[in-house]
Amino acid sequence: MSAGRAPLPVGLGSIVTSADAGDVLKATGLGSCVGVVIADPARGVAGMAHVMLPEAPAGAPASADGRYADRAVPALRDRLVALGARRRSLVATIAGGARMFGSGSGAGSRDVGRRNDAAVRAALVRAGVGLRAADTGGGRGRTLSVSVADGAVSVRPVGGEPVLL
Amino acid sequence: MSTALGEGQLDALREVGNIGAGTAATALSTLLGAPVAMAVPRARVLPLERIPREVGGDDELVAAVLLGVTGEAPGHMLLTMGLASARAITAALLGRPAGDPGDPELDEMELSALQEVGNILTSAYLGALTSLTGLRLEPTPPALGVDLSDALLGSALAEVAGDAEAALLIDARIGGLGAERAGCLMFLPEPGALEVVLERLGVGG
Repeated sequence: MSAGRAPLPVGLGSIVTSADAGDVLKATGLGSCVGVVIADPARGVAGMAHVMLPEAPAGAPASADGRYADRAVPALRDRLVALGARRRSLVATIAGGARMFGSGSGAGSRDVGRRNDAAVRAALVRAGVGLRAADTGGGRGRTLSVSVADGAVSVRPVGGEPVLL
Repeated sequence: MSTALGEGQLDALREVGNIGAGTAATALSTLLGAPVAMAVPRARVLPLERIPREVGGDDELVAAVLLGVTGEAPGHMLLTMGLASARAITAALLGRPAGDPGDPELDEMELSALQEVGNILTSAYLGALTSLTGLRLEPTPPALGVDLSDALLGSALAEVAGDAEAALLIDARIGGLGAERAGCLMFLPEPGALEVVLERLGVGG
């Protein structure tokens, strides 16, 4: 990870991309959300989407692309290609998709985390982007970051140490 | 959901929140035998993405209780508490010293005490809403999570929002137990339910 500048935050439902070797992109507090990193490390281009829901409803505006797995993955891929990434060199790393509200019967029963995880994986296959590594499921929040310079991805579970994926 | 609620409608919803939160604060105060204050709630329609920022907390550790609301105006209630406050509340309820505020692992007793707090606050809030509107409202059993504020809020919103672009957020800050901002109680009605509530308050569209 490169040091120096503060990391660029990747907020809920947003997509952030960069071709600046000094940038680190970071999503703090991924719960049932899934952080999707796609990078072309050789070209020094990387991006991240902070996906909240599996599928966009009909008529959702393009401005909400980052919110939905099925829209966020191709949108992120296309933005990276526009920044100079080679389509065939793109690799993905994902983290999140946890079940945050453990007990109880009514609320939390939609199991959004597991559905987000599955929807992101399916969208990556459709987008033709290989999945390099994944840290999904479980019951803890995670913080995900990627260094644009070399595409190195690290994930830190709540209360734990960062691990390279 | 339409984001075009009038100022009069937001005022009416704020008043509902005020009465609900006041009743909930009294219930918590009685339970703890200590004063609990609740600020005048805010009511506004926000794009989903902005809600975690509005509620605040970011990468703080919090305990959150999520309950469904069933009946004539369905939706969700979400209670978030800073971990230190959550531990202070459980310690007071269980009559034992508070645990380490930096440790996210709560034991079974603490988890069930917090679920009970969520139940009591939500029941008080919904009871006040029922008296005000005549609408029949019931909470579902509470689900609990302890994690980063953003992680819990993002997950709760994903459960709550479904396909909605924006959500009505009526939130009240809870103070007391040695903390100015001990927690936040939020009511997130479903889009259809909002119309029902507004109609009953005499400010329907």
